[in-house]
Amino acid sequence: MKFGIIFELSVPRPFENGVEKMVFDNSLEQARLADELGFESAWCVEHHFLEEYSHSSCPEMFLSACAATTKDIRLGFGIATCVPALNHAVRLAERGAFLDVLSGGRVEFGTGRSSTWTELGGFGAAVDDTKRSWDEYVRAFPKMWTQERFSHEGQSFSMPERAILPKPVQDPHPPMWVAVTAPGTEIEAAERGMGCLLLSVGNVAKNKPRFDKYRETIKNCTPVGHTVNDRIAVMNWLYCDEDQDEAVKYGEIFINTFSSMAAQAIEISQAVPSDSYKAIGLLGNLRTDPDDGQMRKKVPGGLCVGTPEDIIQTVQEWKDAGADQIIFMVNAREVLEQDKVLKSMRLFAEKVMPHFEDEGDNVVEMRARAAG
Amino acid sequence: MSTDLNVVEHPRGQGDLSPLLANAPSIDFGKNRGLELENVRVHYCLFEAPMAQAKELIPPSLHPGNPAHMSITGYSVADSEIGPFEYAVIALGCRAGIKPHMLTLSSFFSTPAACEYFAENFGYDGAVANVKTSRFHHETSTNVELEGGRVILDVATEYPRQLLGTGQVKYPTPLNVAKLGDHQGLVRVDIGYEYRETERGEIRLRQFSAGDLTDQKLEPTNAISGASSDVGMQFSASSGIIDLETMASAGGLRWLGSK
Repeated sequence: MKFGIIFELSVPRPFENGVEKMVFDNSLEQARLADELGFESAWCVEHHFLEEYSHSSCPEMFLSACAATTKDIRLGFGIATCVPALNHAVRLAERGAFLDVLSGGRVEFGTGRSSTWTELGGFGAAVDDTKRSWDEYVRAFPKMWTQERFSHEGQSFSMPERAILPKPVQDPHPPMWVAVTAPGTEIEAAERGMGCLLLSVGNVAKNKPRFDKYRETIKNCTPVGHTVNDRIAVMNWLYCDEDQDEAVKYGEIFINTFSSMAAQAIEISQAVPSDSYKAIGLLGNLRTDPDDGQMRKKVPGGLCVGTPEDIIQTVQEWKDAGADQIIFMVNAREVLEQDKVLKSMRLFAEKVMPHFEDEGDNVVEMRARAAG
Repeated sequence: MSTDLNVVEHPRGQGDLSPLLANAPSIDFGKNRGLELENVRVHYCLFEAPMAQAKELIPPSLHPGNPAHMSITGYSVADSEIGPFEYAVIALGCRAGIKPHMLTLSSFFSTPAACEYFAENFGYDGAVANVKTSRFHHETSTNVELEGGRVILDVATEYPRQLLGTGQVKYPTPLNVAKLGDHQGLVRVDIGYEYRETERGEIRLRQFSAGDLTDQKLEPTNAISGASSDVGMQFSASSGIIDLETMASAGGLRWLGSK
């Protein structure tokens, strides 16, 4: 089992000068600590127009800063939005490869298509075509990264022959992932030989059949890339404290804040009835019912909020269900003070990670280094 | 930094709706009823709207969505216990915490019986008008014509394309400024839907008289999408009411009776 962290770069109101800088700086500090503690990856999302929820419009720039100040941690570029109105396929391939060169081959490349009207509508994207463009893009990226020259005549984009530069450091190219929210997308990931990055966390038992189906399907995949990425990563929320009451108190604040921010955008499923957007996006399963005073106070199942012992149990459940990695959000809208976030990460690394160390991992040494 | 969800600083409405309460519909809680509508054509048109206008209309207990948005919805009811009728609602999208709602700005009913029933049971402060929602092969249209023949609303969803499956349209819960029993504020209209088929198309707004429909306070901007659906609707007897000032998540939502 590996662990990562993910950054949405959510920003608290009021949006005064300096507040975004504070969020970016705090996030970079968290990335540095994660690297020192032996977390495997740091991801940064691409979002647009989602005020408060995510000011992360240029994730590769944030990850470049991470690359410059970290040593080992892998850099999750994405979810890169594979929609022509937002990104030309070449621009995504270039930026992914550029970061791979800059970081010495540390890129994980996440792909997706956005789930909000706020974003897709803002760019005038054709909502019905995003699955199609995503499929075309993910088949083109490996060719752009590995062929000396690339040309393409397709439905989402066409281009004459050009050398797409730079080429990634990783041979043959960075591992590719698919953001999975709607049921069935994990199958699409498996069919294409791509990693499953599960964003819609529900309870563990509910997801196990999805993981099983993914494992079964990927055995007979037709890979879009030159390698198969058969890993399952689960996005999750981390708040670890020795005192259970404290853990639950701050964990609830953290999760409720995230849910509340995410709900202010307009999902495609709320705005444009479409055969290709039937599921709620943006982590709908996290949202407890605000009309229900009792439910609002509960931490949804499967989330890593609690004492180290609680979290060991939850991680074990995910591992038993078939997950290979858990990627944590560690703060939202700076609702947790930075000291608490760093303390939670350190406690997790000290008390939880050793239970899940694979042979050959050297996280003990890394933690010793971090402890100074 | 705040550590209380109740004071999450999403943009909140700044509208003062309290003057509307004086003449708002009054629901006699305990005697109020729901309504079962078996066959309804729902024509739901969603638009973006200027954020500044939206904030001025939404009370402090609610948030505008991102982006600000509004709906024009026409309903054609084949038959019911109050007879066949049509109605149209102009509403502003908003959130009570995480829950999507539509704050009614104006409503029009084709029969006095329907207008009265919807006021007494669901808090719609409606007017009687010539309302018509019609589905054709090339479009579904909704019109509202006042007595004397002046058309104040004419919207169509053109180039319809049938969607696969059912349940694709997510109608937010309507809110009406009204009184419910001893309470006053925003009455929730809780409706269950049975979806049978949906067509989606492009909106053409042919007439929108802002003075009649939104008291000149809101105008649609970018069209998002139009949907024409064949549904069954089950209205629950109203029992939920949101305070005008206090957010639902901070205790501003009250359920009367057993709920």
